[in-house]
Amino acid sequence: MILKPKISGSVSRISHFVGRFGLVIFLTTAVLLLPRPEGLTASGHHALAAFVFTAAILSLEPVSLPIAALMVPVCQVALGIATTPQAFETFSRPVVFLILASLFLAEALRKHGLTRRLAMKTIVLSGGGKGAVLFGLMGISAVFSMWVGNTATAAMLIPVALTIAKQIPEKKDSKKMLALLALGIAYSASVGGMATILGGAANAVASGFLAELGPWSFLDWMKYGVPSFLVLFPLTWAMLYKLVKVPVRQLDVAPAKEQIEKMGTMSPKEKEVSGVLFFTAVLWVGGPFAGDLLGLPRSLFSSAIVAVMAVSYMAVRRIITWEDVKGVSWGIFLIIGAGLSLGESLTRTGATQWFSGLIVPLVSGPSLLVTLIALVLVSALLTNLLNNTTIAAVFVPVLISVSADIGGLSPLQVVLPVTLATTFGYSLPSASGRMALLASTGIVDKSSMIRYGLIVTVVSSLVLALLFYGFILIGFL
Amino acid sequence: MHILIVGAGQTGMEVIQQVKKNKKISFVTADPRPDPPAVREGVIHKVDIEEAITPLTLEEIIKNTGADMIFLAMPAEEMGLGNAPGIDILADSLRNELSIVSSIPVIEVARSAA
Repeated sequence: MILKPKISGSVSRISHFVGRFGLVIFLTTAVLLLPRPEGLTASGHHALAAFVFTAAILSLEPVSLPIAALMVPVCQVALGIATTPQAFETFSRPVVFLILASLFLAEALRKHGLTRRLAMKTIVLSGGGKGAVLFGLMGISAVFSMWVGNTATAAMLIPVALTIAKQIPEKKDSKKMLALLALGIAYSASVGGMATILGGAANAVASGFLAELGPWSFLDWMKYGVPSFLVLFPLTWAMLYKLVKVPVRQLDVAPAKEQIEKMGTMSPKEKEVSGVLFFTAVLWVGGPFAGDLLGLPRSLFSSAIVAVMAVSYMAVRRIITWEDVKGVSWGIFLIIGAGLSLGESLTRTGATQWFSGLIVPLVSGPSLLVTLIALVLVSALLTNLLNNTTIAAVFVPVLISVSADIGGLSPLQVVLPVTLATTFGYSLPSASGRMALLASTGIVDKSSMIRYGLIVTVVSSLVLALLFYGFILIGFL
Repeated sequence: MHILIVGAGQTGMEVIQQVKKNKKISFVTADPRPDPPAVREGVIHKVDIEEAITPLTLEEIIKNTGADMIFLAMPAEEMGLGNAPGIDILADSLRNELSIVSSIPVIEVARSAA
């Protein structure tokens, strides 16, 4: 049944907490009790334990993810690898506010129904062909995910998929169609998220580290993120279309037309939201040039400030209110902060350098293509088990260090494909917020999620690695 | 007037208690949970429709119950869908979708119990 509630008694909740939290503590303690690996300092050894604690607590979730993320700085201070200001400093990075503001923008979209209107229009434009409807809905999901939170976008579009699937009279086919559309929405929200820094917490974490190496702007990310999206989006659509068999070729678009008529013309508020989003996107891309042109400080047009200005404008115009934004998933703010904090601790204690020492012999031997494929696959498969922010927090500083140790390899050449591969969390409910939504609503059963997810993950990873290899060969990266 | 009250949790229970004040109003309740608070606390003997209301099931339920109006009284935290990120947005969007596609008036009683 769709939207079947999960039953959990208070006793099972307590044993769930004790069991999972106990496992987190056990794993962390086990790392601390192990003999210190050669070449690792004592504080590096403690940072390794902090990494295990972070990975375990964000994966096992004995408590809600944001609260689990709050325990990360506590663990770092307790293990003596960070002072209190050091542990919390990363929670105030601009990239954290950029992601938070993008959630507020998503709330404006939800409140004024713009996403739904565009989805209905797309269905009508598609003409009702199964593939075209899927492509259209995936396109809307991907485009919005580039600019506002990808899980928020998927959450807004899944109910629209329910309405579309309703058009199929046969219940069994209707459920299959719903699974196809919902998977399409979830996958494309992830793939769309590749295009910009805003697309995901892992992008934000990677950008946080890349910005420390030198100038790194919103546009710099898009230079590599957009081509990756353009290659992977149609591929993902084609794979889903082939994999998920739905014995329906054509959908009736009349109900969608009726819905658009019912909604009437765009309200002034809807128009204003569209305008603000468009203008914000323009400033995210071309902000620094606008700063130069207007003789204003460049930092006034940095992506985080632009996002906060957009939210402020919408609040002044009462497009959104404090009551609206109170309900958004603020927890992402803590998860990104925790990820960055862990990465900083690993770097500060020399654990990153130690990890790098382990990896360099493995990646300097084989050809660059083999190395890229291996790194991307490891990242993509790990993201199904571990929180992708944790993966980025650990992998990015290590890969920056690895690239410094291997001559002729730039940090971007490895950091970007590995970070983008954390998008491919398609196989398990724990892989991403989108998959968790599909699992908790019962729209896609676990075995189908694993089956389709693994195929799409492996193929997408290989294509992503080949794409970046191509970028390197032609000197684009 | 025959009302379909969706949700027999804390919010739904308050709605049921208010609706009961007017004997001319009849109602049926819907909640997919096996033992929702309104039943546990004796406000109603049982839930009439033990099924989740989605755009897929809405019209059939309206037809079967003969409801004239729907009260959506099921905030995200009472849906029992866990705490996946975005579940609150999904719940809000779902309620909004039901309001739009329904052929009878839908009144959203509470967006959130908080």
